[in-house]
Amino acid sequence: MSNSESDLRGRIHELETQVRHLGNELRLTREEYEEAASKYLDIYFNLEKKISERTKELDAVNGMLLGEIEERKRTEAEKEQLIARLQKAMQEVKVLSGFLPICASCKKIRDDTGYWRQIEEYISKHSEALFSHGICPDCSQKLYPEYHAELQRRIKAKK
Amino acid sequence: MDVSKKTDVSLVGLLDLVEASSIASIKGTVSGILSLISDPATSSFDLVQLIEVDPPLTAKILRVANSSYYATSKTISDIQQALIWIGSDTLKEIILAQKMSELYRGGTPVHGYSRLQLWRHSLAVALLAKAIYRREFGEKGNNAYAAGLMHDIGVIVEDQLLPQEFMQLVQAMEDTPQSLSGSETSFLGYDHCLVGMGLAEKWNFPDELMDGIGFHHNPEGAREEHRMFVKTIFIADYLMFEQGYGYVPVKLPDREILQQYVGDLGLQWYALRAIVALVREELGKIEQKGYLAV
Ligand SMILES: [Fe+2]
Ligand SMILES: [Fe+2]
Repeated sequence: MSNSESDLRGRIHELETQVRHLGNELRLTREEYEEAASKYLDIYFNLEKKISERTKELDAVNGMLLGEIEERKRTEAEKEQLIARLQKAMQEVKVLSGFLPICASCKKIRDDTGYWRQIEEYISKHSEALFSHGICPDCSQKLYPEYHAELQRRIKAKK
Repeated sequence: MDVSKKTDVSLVGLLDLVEASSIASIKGTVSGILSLISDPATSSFDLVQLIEVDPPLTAKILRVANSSYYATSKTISDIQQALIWIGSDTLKEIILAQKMSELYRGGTPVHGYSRLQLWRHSLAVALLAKAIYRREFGEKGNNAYAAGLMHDIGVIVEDQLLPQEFMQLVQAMEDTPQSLSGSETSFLGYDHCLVGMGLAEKWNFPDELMDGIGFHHNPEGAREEHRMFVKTIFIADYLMFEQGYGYVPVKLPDREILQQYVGDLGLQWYALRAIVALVREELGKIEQKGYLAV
């Protein structure tokens, strides 16, 4: 084997070694790159998941807060209505209880403004009671003596 | 010179001294990171948790991560970012190196020995062992890096805790060329391999690493399943001493032993030479950037 031939062979060995070494480095670096990338993606997706979870949590809490506010408004309004009704009822109770100044002769009642009102007008204004008008036998004899006798006779005949 | 004068401190006594010394302060972080290195399925959470309790270490790691050596386009301001930008494997190496470097501070260079040279040697062996795993065996070699960095931990223990005896045994090597283990055995009755292995056992280092530390001058003593690993450390140690990355005036064992291990691993000399050249270039860069400073 000549000198230049063995030189050439040595050079080829050297280059083959270099190729093998770089091949190994490349493979390991690629593996490391993939590992790093997957780790990075893990971190990325973890954070993304966390963000969407936090957003959902925030929305849920916000919804709960709005509901609470609505509920609060509704009960406030109900309470006010109730109070108003109670106040009104109490006023009415107050008006119909206690002393009613009534005229001993014509039976008119004096209201809080000092005005004398018909008893039916006063009571229908201050209570739920309704009036239906008729005439009693005593008053009918006094007011319509000629019709009264005839009326009595007819009632007896019917019986 | 009185070569027969031995220390009163036994191996067990020395290991007890370690527990009571400042060396023990690296125990938690170093044991923790070593088990993370040997277990590839660790979560980044464990890694962050391990160093966040050590603010000075965190600061050093961020300084290194931001150095031009790692040249990321972004400023790294916390460990999470370092994890993303430089990757967990590299980050683990930086953590181990930064924590270990604490042991090599101070000391005055004497008789051809210095702590800085020992640190430089450890880093060189770590890089070469790892490069052999990557380029030749096509594996990541994270454990080889760790073993390279730790293999001579017994030496720094002797230097720190038995300074007088250690200076004497280094002086003896300067006078009569011999192996470090030989000189240690005549002065102490044990060598840095035994000290390192005792420490590795006490601190619960992974088995492979324990063998790497304990048998790096005698790979045949290691467990069968770790022998290839330990031979790689032996080769890296030998070659870096030859390349001027030694720390004592040592007499290296016969080159025949090296030849045999190189053959055992199926390595070719031109392939090894190429890898050594690469590592030297890397070390040059590291020294230039001041990353080697302890
Ligand atoms: Fe050693
Ligand atoms: Fe060594």
